[in-house]
Amino acid sequence: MTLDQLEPGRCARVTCWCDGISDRFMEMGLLPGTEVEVVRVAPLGDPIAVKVKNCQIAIRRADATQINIEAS
Amino acid sequence: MASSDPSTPTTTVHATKVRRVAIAGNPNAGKSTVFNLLTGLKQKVGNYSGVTVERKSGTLVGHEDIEIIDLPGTYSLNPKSEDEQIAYDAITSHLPDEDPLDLIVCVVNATNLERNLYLASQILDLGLPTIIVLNMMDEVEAGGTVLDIRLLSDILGAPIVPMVATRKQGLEDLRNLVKGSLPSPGATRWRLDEEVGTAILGLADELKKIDGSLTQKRREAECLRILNSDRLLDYWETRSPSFFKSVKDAREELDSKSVAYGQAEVRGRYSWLGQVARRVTKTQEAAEARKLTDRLDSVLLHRIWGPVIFVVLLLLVFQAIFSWATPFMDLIDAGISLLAGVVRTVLPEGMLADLLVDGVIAGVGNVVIFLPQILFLFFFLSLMESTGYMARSAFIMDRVMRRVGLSGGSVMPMMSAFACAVPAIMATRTMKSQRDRLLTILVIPLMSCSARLPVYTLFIGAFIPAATFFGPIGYQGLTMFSLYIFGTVVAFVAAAVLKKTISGPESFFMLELPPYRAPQWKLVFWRMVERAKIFLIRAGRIIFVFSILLWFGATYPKAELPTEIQSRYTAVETELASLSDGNDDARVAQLEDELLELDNTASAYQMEQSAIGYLGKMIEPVMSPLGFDWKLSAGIITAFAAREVIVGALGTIYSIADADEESLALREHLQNAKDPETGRNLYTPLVALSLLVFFVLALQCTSTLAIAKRELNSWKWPVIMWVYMTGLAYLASLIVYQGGLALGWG
Ligand SMILES: Nc1nc2c(ncn2[C@@H]2O[C@H](COP(=O)(O)OP(=O)(O)O)[C@@H](O)[C@H]2O)c(=O)[nH]1
Repeated sequence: MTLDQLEPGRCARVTCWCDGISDRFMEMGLLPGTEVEVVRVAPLGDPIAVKVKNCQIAIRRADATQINIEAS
Repeated sequence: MASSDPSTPTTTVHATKVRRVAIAGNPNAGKSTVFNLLTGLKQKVGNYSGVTVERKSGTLVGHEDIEIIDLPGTYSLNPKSEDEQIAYDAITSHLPDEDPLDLIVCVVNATNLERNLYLASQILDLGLPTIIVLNMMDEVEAGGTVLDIRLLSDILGAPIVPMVATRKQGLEDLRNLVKGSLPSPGATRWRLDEEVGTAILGLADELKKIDGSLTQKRREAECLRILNSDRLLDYWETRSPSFFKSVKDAREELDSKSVAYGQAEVRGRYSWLGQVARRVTKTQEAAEARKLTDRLDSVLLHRIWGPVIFVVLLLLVFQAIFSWATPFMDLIDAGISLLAGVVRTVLPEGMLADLLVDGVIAGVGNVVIFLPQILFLFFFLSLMESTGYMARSAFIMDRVMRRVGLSGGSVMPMMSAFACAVPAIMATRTMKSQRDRLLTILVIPLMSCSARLPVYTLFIGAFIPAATFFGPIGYQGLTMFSLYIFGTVVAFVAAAVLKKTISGPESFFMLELPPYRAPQWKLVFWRMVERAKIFLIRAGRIIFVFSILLWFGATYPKAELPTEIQSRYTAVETELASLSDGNDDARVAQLEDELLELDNTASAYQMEQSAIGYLGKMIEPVMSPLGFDWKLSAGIITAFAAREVIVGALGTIYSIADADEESLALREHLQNAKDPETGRNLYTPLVALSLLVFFVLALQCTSTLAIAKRELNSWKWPVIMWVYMTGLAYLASLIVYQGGLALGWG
């Protein structure tokens, strides 16, 4: 499963990364093993707001498809 | 364009400063707030040399010899954009025009320790004297969390000041540390993957050969930075090809062993920081601010209410800059007229007075008049930034804007451009991606600004029938509305096309949604004043030069009046002189009217013979396919200084004193102007439409060019902007006019 498929309000754990995604997401703490929650989806469906390490960041769906997760 | 540009931002040399202190930190950690506390409000805003990144500096209150510099916010020392690169270069003293730093104050948002310490620990690794400010302690406490600050200070090996910057809590401690003896940095203890570690040691040895002055710790830290970042490695390609090659080799070797060296640092650092955060944090609950934020967000980012509220807020801002600013603009206008009047009475009649009044005061007045709009716009923009709503607006609009190659951050600037392109271009500073920002600046002038309004009003009033066709909606209003829509649509199309031609990294979107906070009115106010200052000084200087040039162009060469006009002058003047006071008031008034009319004829004649009139005639062959005769062409040339100038210029050309857009006489002159050869009406509704289309698209505004030059730090893009917009305007008008003729609408 990838991060874009997670429903708002649900938590998951990052498992691994696809190549070619910016390492900035990692530096923001979206690392393998980290707990993430999709807090909400933008009114038009994209981007999505995720909570990671006590902080909310907005990322585009296209990027979220590059992040594999495992629901917890 | 002038090649030597007086507005080039300069970086001042700081020779006499005893200590140079930089403030670093994540965006939104409170750097500006801390910076303002330390420096008071005596700040200098400029640019780093050669780039568009803003440089803010000041001195510690009461200590003129301690310079404080506010660095651009960054999440890590792995730069991804121009401003992050500056932050990195400043911290590592790689900036050629800046003296090395003595001390770094790293502002950390204490509610989000782990992520904020990522940057802090990277800075500590460089081995520079560093003070950590743990900001937002009020929010930490409100969330019921207790932090063991002494333990954290021991672990990091750096002094820590807990602060609530918005309430000045902790300021004295920070001041004492900043002016006290420099702290010596300790070691941060996180573990790097072994293979990567070995590679780093090898590279550090190489680096030692090039620069022996650095400490081993510093060399290792920098090698890690360079190993991870192409951007930083590029710098070495010319500086030391051998070191450049060593890094490339090291990367290849690690790749061949399939070591993910790019992730090694993030993993190592975060697993250590995770432990650190757990050790120093006593309790952990969702912070109170976050709960409030969640409640607000469920309305402000609601599927339906979110966009509705956003649009209403936009309309409010729009309304403010459009109409609330008007009384102030009128006031300034009156002030300028007053000044012009005073100069006229004080100075003897002649060239100097003309140059000052018609050139300088009128030209600079055209700029100053925008000041109220600028102040209003930036008041609202900094308010949105300060409260955290700005990030939400980008979140809501990103999808729509991405369709045309822009991003969520472009919305506010583009909407502001309906008022005026100048503040709108300045508002793009908040955009993170340089490419998106450039693209936004390039299309902003296509949005119909308020300076086009007088032109629209004049030509629509003169040529579009006032009839209504549906309730109160008439053709005139519909035309006006269509012009606005037309400009906006072209802006979107232009963005989609230009996007393909601008190289640069694909727009990278990652936006932090900070908790909502009460605005800091002082900060909002000062940001507004700061922008206004930049606007007046930078754009004003260029306008100053252009207005003088334009004045000369319209005034010289001086025309010899035709004998017919001269003899009429003499006749009227002699009769006036012969009439004694109070004898024949009616006749005097009549003669004075005649004199005024003669003056107008004379100035129209002068215009025709002047350089600009000459130019108008010269470009007439080029413009006639659009339906413009030499008079309209000359008007258009003057309008390249500022659009609304055409109203006054056509007024002069049609010899009507004091023409403005409401002037019926000018409107009638336009309607009744006859072709001297055929005797038919010179201007038809089709010509008017062609002219309106031209004004929607052409970049006729020296202020816009000046500010774009200032913001992009080169003439290249302003020139491209001017060329593509003017080309587009020509093409569109050509299609409208020739198409219209072919359809028999002429
Ligand atoms: N609650 C609280 N808010 C703060 C504190 N310091 C700054 N802020 C707020 O945090 C936001 C970001 O601050 P700013 O100085 O603009 O951050 P910068 O992006 O790092 O320059 C603003 O809304 C400030 O009012 C603090 O100590 N406590």
